[in-house]
Amino acid sequence: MSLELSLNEGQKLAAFEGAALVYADQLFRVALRLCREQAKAEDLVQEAYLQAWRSFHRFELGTNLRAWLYKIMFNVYYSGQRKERLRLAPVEETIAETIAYDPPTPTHLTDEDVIAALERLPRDFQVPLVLADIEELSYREVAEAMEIPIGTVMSRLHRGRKLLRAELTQYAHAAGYKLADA
Amino acid sequence: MDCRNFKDVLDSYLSGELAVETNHDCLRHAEQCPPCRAELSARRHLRLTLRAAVTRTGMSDEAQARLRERLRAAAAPLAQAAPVRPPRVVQPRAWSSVWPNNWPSIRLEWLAPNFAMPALVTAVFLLALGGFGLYAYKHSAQQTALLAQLSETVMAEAAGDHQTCALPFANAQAAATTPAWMKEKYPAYADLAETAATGAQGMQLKAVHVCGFKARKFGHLIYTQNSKVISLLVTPRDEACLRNGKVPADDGVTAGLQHALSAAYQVNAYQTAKYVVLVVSDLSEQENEQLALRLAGPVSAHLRQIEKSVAQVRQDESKDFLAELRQHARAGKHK
Repeated sequence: MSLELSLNEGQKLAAFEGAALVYADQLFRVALRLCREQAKAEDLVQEAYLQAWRSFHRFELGTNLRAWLYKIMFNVYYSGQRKERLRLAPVEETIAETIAYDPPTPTHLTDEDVIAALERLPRDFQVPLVLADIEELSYREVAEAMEIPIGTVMSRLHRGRKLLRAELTQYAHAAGYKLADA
Repeated sequence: MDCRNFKDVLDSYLSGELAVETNHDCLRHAEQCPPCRAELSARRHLRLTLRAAVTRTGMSDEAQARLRERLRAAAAPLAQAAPVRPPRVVQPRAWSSVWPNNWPSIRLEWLAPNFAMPALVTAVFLLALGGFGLYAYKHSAQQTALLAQLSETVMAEAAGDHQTCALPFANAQAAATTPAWMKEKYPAYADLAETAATGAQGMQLKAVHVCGFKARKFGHLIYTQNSKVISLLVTPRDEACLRNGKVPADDGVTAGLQHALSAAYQVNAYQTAKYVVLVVSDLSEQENEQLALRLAGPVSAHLRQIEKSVAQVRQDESKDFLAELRQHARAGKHK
């Protein structure tokens, strides 16, 4: 069912704002991983919302609005970044080889520790990780938003999480934190 | 499941992405393996720490305000397009100040008494406005009708359904009524037969059902008259129904009665906001059109009535829904 029959433009905007703007922070956090700069991330979110507003008549009530917004944001991002997206792809393989060893996960980490480790991850791993483990999208929703196959999402998540743990273990060793019993 | 497998699927377990069986295996392994249990709790802890750390950041208030502004600006031209600006009342004395200084100075008194000129200006202005309004109205009506052109596909599907589904009923004996399951499952189709009854005088109703042709579903009433079979079909007005692939945002009135000749069958169709109502037969073009007026006309009017009342309820519901959302958002911010 679509909204357009029963509402005028002002009511539609109110409906859109009421339903969609609650996700602005979530979108922004993912945009920040994509753009790495606050101002650029804010621009991306704004563009995504404007695009979403323009296509709102095509949105079906009852379907997942959050996933739809993410999808639009990635679309906007990709259309501005085609070349860079291709350039980033080959990084995966080399990293995969360096993290074959999977040590126990350290505990007692501070917020700063985990943020620093997250930020050191390549963007291709960081983004699905934020979407799945922090914003709690399902693997399928991540795949649809990023327009990549679900298998790729799973492998990037697997490697990204492993890499994050490796970073943190290194850090914990250096700082003398406690590890889970091996 | 061994420790290696456990560690491999552990994160998917935490994400709730495992199949039920693997989930059980995971739990069973954790129960009997203390190191893996510790790893489970460490990874859960890591995820919670990460979530707490990352979700502390959000969009700045200024950026949020700017976003709202831009949305308003994007919505404004459309919102303001509807009302026509009322004609400005021209004050008799103000007019001379409008006359450009560098224009030849004409003594108005030569042309007409002082009050006549402003009145003339007003009259011309009003005429122009009226003319433009009429043009704009006609133009927009034409555009709406153009946007609501039905696709050949839906016309052909209706003809196809008539051929495969209705023709076998040509010699059916029993008079039909709407079955109870249809009323229950397709409330919009519940009163089709009753609504069309007046227009269907002199015809026999042979079947009322829901059927499909290719991917399209129809509410289908089959009539006979002098051994001719006539189909009254109702189908959701989806994108495939429209020639340009877009469902217009109107109640379908402007679209009027549309006609197609598909596989030697005459097809006439009306539209409502949500449905397309078609009449198919192998009668002449004029006869089919007459039947469409009699059968499909009242049915589409009836459907529009339902849609209007549903739209009202939905509007009320959407207001409630928005209030709830806002409350939710506010509660979230105070946390």
